[in-house]
Amino acid sequence: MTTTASPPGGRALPGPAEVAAGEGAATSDRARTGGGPGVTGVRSSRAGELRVVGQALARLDQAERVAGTTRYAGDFALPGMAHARLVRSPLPSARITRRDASKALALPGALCVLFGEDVPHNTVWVDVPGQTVEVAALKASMEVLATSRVRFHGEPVALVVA
Amino acid sequence: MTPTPLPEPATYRVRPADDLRPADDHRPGADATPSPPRTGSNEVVLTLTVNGEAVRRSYATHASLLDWLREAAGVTDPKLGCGEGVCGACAVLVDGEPVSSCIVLAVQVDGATVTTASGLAGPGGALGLLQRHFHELHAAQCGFCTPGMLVTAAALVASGRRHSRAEIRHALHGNLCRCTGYGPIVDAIEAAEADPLLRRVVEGGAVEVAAIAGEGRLP
Repeated sequence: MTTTASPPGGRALPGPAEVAAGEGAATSDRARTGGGPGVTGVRSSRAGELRVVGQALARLDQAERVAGTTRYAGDFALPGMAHARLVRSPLPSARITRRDASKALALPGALCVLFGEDVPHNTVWVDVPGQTVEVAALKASMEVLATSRVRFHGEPVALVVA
Repeated sequence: MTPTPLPEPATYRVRPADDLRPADDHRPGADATPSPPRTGSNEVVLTLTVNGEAVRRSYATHASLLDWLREAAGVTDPKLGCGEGVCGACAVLVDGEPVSSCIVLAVQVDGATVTTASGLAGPGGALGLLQRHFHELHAAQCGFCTPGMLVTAAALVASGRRHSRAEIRHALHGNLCRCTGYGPIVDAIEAAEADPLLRRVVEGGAVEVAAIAGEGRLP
């Protein structure tokens, strides 16, 4: 059976006639009637009739990708768009004794600084990886923004919006 | 323990671009260029030729070339990937040489000619020669690495000679792609180097990045 891959440029896959020519009359009859147990290969005998199956389809987004004009999320700004940045713990394990956003809020353009108390559901329960079925799942609690304790270097503590 | 507060610098000193140029830089105007004009803040005015157009902008002194292109000049086809010169998503041509623009300071290349992937387009925004081969051979999937791939490929193709697949792969070692598996990208570059249109420019002795852009610019 003809199994050549679609060549560059998106030439259509071989139609039923081409497939049949490579196979001989006996199998081509079966191929034409939609394929039975004896038919091997992956191509539908109805490729010529179907719009999508068996067709080499044009990639609609390719031209703009290679032109470099595709706009990704970071490539444009919307009117009034604000930017957020996490403030992360510089320490791997520490208690949070005091948080003060006044200096940040005094900067021009600062909109708000959010702490854990501002997050509606700040505590999330996550699976601890590596647990076996016998032991059952082990859940650990994590805070979206740490309020009193940080447990790893880089744990988010505050969210600054400007 | 309270860390000793650092003294607040009144102004940031801008190192003149000339100081940052290597001693053997004989680019036209390299020794005659005055220091970039200061604006009084921590911004500096730089003029670069971006995709054939002179662009003059005042922007943060510490900005990388990538930030300068994206934020100050509004040219967003070079992407920020790793931010440390590993992935090649930010690659652009500076005076024809591919560089990772995320680890080049904009002040280092004041006055330079920068070509990004969109600068490889033909007249009227039509796909350029390289872009066409990338398109035809499906050498892009998500497209994020593609602008970097294209400029690296452009520098290779502009050398004017045919390269083996191994050489092409070596030339691309600074550009990471997580979709295509590189095969179609190497195919596209191979096809571009074999393109009769390109061969015509090569034989005319005028291979440069601008010439490989589009059919319209060919002789």
